[in-house]
Amino acid sequence: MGSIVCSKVSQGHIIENKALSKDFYLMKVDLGVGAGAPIRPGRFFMLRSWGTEPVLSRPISVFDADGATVSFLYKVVGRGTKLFSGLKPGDAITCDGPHGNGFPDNPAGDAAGVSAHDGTAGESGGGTTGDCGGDTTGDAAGVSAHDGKAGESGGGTTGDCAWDTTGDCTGDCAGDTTAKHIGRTKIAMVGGGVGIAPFYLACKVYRGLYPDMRLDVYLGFSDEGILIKEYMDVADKVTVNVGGFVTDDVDAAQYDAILTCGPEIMMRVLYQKYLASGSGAQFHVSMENRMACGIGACLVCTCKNKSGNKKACKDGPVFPGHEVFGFA
Amino acid sequence: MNKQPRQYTRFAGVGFKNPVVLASGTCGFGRELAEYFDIRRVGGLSSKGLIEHPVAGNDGIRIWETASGIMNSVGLENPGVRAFIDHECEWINSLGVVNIVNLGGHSEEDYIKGLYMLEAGQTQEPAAPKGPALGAVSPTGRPTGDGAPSVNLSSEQATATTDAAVSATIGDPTGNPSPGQATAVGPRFDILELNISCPNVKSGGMNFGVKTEVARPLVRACRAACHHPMVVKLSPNAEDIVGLARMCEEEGADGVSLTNTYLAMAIDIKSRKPVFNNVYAGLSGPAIKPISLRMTHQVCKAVGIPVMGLGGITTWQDAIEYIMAGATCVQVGTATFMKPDMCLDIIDGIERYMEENKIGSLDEIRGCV
Repeated sequence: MGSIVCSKVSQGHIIENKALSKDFYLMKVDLGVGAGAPIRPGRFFMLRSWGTEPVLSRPISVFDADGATVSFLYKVVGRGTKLFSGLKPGDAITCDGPHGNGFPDNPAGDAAGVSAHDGTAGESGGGTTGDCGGDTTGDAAGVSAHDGKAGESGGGTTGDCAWDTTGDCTGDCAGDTTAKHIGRTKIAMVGGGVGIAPFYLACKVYRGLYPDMRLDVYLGFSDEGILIKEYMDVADKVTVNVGGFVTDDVDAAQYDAILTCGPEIMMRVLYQKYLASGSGAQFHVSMENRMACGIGACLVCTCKNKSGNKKACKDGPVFPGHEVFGFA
Repeated sequence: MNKQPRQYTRFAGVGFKNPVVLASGTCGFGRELAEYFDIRRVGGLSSKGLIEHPVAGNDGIRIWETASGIMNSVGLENPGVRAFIDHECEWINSLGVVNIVNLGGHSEEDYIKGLYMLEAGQTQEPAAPKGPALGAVSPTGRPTGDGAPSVNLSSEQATATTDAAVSATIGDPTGNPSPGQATAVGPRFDILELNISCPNVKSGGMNFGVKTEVARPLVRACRAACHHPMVVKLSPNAEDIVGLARMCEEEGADGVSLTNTYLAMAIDIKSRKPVFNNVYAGLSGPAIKPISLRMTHQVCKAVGIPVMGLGGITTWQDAIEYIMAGATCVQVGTATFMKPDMCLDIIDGIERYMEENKIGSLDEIRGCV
């Protein structure tokens, strides 16, 4: 196949592709272009390292990006991600993106009293997004991209075995471990399975934009935790739940914004909990739908939202919680 | 922009700069793909399937990958004909590609209402269709070299009065398709592609295009209401696709396109349920190409009207096969999901093939098999 000349499509090369656990991989790709505009957390690329079979490219959300390289966290769930897992440094991969609307520049909105745009926000253009990752399209095995089990494997050992190694509070907010406190915006990012992916970049971006923002990350896994050290490096607090319900660990009332990505059941439970708490937080959901074109032309990833049909790939994948869970 | 007069193709009186058309449902209205490549290079664009009214589409999973294919169950989600006229139609015209409007419906009334909007630019009661402009079914400047079709006008059509004088679109042989036909008040477009593969609510959801005699009155009514060149898109689920194509010719269609997707199924063995809420879904992609090619060949041998071939076309070689089977134009659908500008690879591949084999016109190989 000839190469496409388009700023959206890069013929990338694998820098590193390492197994993190039985099914999870972290793949770093050299996009082969100079430093482009910063990529917002929650956006995704359509990735492809083969010709015509399997038919569909795989939408994978951005785990990290520095302009010239992009890292992707993915779980092997189907033919496409299986092929990704076999890629070696130097191998070619077509990276079409970033696509979609990611998490907002200011997740807490004006309500939190944080200045919305401080310069970098301008890159946006509309952008935002991200699908949360995984092999959402054509996984023949029918496994959803997010490992899916994080929310459903109910019986597990719940326990909120939080790896709260950083302590509730870092430096400047001495002692105030509970409710929100004046002047410091608190953000919860709740990810299940491969849905944790966008929150690594989110922490880095928000830290850069709002140095005082309190960033709490909740990671839910069905059987084995990954990347915990990496998240600890960028978040103020990391809570890990293996085999249980990560949603049990979140006290929605103490946050100004809650961002979530993962199995729909997990996100829905979190949303219900948030409603019940009476929290005034902003709630942002990254929807995972199977995609084909990834650019808004084919209508296979439609989310039937409160305000009508939305394209997960183009209008989303990040939506306000009330848009997707606030009805029906 | 490359001029490719070598590939210039006439279909139902309409000039295409090349025979490659973006298939309905895989390219939206072209806006997204236009961000990837010079979409003006394609021969034509068949719009996302429209229905007279907006449709929200199906719930549940809409796409499923198979071996060399995909199944989809979008459920005719579309913004409605009105929104197309107001927001999309002129944009497609501005690209200089043949503007093919794909129209479906859940009942004959839907189709007729949609056609009225497209022809008159406004909603009218379907009870009083005035009949076609004769020029539309018998355009001057018929394509040559594709069988010199004879058009059988039904007596109803032959005696119909013309209320919107429409002359057939004649493309500019220099490679720029003509801008289409203008009715007094309707939008400008070039060809109507009638999707008869929609579930018919009056027959328990069975696709209009399965039984020839169920499809006939629909095609006849649409022919009477359609003043543009009309192509009927055939379902491979038809009991007799050759009979269906012959019927379309008898009823005055200017061409047929085939095939639409194949009724197919997938089961989630974990939940022990069908993957799709509708149980069955439409299969497309390379997996179906040999079957659609065979059907295209059979239909081309049986009818005099021109044929647009589609089904799994992914490479230029696939396109040439369809043309050798008799297709006048080819449509590219699922392959666009593999690579947004696959259509350009196909156009460029056909060009190289023609050059290397000293083929001056696709007519030289069309239908050679």
